[in-house]
Amino acid sequence: MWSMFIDTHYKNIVIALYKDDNIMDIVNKEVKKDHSVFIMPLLEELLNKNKITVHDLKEIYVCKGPGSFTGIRLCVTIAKTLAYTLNVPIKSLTSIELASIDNNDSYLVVHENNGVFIAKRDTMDKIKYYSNSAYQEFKTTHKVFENLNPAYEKIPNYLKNKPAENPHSVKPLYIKGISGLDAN
Amino acid sequence: MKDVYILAIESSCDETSMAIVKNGHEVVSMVVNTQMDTHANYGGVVPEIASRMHAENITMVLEETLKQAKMKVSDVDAIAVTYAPGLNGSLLVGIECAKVLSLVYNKPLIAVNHLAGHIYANHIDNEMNFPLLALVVSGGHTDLILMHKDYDFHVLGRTLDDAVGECYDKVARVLGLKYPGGPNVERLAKEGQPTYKLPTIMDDGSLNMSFSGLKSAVINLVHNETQRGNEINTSNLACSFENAALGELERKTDLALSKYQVQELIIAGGVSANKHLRSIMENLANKHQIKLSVPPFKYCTDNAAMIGSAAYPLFLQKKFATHDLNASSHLDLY
Repeated sequence: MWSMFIDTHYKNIVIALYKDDNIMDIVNKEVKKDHSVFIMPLLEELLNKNKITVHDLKEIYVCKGPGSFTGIRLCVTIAKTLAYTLNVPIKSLTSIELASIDNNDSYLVVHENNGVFIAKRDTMDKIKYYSNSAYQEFKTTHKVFENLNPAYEKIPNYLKNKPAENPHSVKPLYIKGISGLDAN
Repeated sequence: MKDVYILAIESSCDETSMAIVKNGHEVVSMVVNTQMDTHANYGGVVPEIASRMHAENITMVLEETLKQAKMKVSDVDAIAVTYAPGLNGSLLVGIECAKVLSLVYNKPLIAVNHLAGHIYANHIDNEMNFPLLALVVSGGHTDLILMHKDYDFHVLGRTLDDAVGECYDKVARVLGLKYPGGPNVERLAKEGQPTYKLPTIMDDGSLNMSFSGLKSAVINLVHNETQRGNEINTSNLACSFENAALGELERKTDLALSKYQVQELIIAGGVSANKHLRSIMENLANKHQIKLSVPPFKYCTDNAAMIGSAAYPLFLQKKFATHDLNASSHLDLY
């Protein structure tokens, strides 16, 4: 049974293919801008290379953020449309959870352009945003390790016991509000 | 010839919309999920909020569109999507959804310019008679376009600064009216008289237009009167503004119709919902003895049916897009 993981929460486009929960292939490409130009062609190339079609995918995994606003919208939109149209289960995980797989640090850190998202390992759903300068200060008092190479191969296993979600309700996790908003 | 069904997606601003359009002019189903009430809290469209709402709603809008049409995506012949111009983050949600549909159902992808969509809104339940003159009036555009055939756009004139719709929104703001400004200014103007003297606009003999001077004049007038402690008759000011703005559109459209022989005058874009503008254009069409075509109200504002209609000539010409399609916030049609 084939499944696919999609993640574009920061600079890299990551698409992984699994067969019976074992990783079979992965693209991990850093793109400076215009991610939308590359994601679908890379996804299709990966399917072709492995001689399967999109209809062989029986489960979809997606990283829903936090991270770049546009980035997480792209991968979530693609993943939920895939799951909805293929009528297969979809499971999401946060970028913090992604960083937590296969490491034992007490603080988990995820980068975005102007700062980082941090959560404690034992309360991974409490994610806070720090600007780059606030993060520098945080680092002087806390021991942090930045997991720049998440264990993509372990994602199916990590999500094994999580329930599948309704594709309609999968949405990006922004954490950050919208700057300059002045409701009247 | 076999019937052609196109599933169209529009997410360029604050409406998430999908439609299935048959042969370019018959709307089988259309869903418009508007975010207007949300944005009204902020006095205008907040791009990041718009993008977030598109991403939340997109598959639900798809489901509803298919349900209303009693069709499956596999029943359609192509997937069309607005790729420009508009809010980048918003456009991208529709574009990525369209690419996935194109991949899963193995259907060609058609990239449609939003402005072409507004023009082709006149093709819904209707035929377009070439050559024609199109007046495109919206929050981003004020253009006079001559068309001899499908997808043949010649700009005869355009605004040199603000779009007329943008001008309406700014004037609504200084008059203390809620977003969306256009319909509210129109409503207020109907109750007033054109008592305020505002500058007449550009009279250089060209078909170009200008609205920033008028906008500034209204803002300055409100500012000065407030400073003097004078009360402003907002309905009279709205009426004076509307007369000046629509008068500019009338003069330039009249001039274009005198210079170019056309079969038909069409108006397109959000401001074409303005009833006063419609009656002015009807008079002009009568004067020049040509047909006037105005889209039904529901196809004036942003909607996917017009995108499906504009995609049809591209489908016939096999002008398909590839899956590296990107959004473009400022791409011109012409």
